[in-house]
Amino acid sequence: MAGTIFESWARVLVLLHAAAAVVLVGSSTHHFLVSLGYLRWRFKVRLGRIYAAIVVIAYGTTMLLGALAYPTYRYHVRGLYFDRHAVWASNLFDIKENFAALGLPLAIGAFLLSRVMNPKEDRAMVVGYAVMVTILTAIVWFNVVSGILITMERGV
Amino acid sequence: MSESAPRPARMTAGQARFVAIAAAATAFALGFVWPAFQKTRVLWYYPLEHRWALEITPEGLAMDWYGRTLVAGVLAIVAYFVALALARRSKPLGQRGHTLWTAWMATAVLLAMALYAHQLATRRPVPTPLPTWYVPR
Repeated sequence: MAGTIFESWARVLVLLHAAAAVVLVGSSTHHFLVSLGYLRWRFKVRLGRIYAAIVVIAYGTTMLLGALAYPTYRYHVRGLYFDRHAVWASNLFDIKENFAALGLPLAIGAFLLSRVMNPKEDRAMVVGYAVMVTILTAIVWFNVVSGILITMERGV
Repeated sequence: MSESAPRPARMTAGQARFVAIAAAATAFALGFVWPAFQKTRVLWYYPLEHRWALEITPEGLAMDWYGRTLVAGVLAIVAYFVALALARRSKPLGQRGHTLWTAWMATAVLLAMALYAHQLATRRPVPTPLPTWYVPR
């Protein structure tokens, strides 16, 4: 049988990947709401900084765990099954992985900015921050829903 | 003794970081999406052979996501520090400057996302040949 790296760990990795994604979707949604508050002159700065930190850690963890399980998925799930019987799932996964990568600098950027930004005084910067957090939250929600749909079709 | 001229105002540390982050996110998106436009050597990982290869087109089952993410990440780090150094020597960023940097960043990221969604939504992938041991579930 063809073996991929971390194949025997793939299910555990995907389970931990899902657990990290649960933390990520909760923290990024809260972070999004706090950043919307900045635009409406409601300043929960300390909370915003905490959520930004949780998001960047959860995002990195989710991505790393997914990246470790990816070779097993690529051959055993996509190569042998999805590309034949569920092309939509194969394509949706690839959209999801590309979106995840594009969200990484936004997660890191929002965290770095949250450490120095004073939303009461840096009003011009708040819009940029909110745009960053909004795109990031949209990516997180899209990827979580896509991940559930793909795994419902077939998992590692 | 003549008084020295006042030093011109510079960007605050927060503004400089904002510019650097926007430049890094833009560079990441452009670097990540570049191989989709232009035939470029990318680092491919062959999951069944456990090897890496720097090539334009793979010769079998291979994954380019790691390579593209790595290149885009390096580009983003370089863009961050270059933009940070330049921003620290620049005039303070006004409302218009903040809006422009935000627009550049959002446009680059959203265009990259739209490109991948468009390319992949209608893709017809070539399945890997079934091995002899394969038992359908």
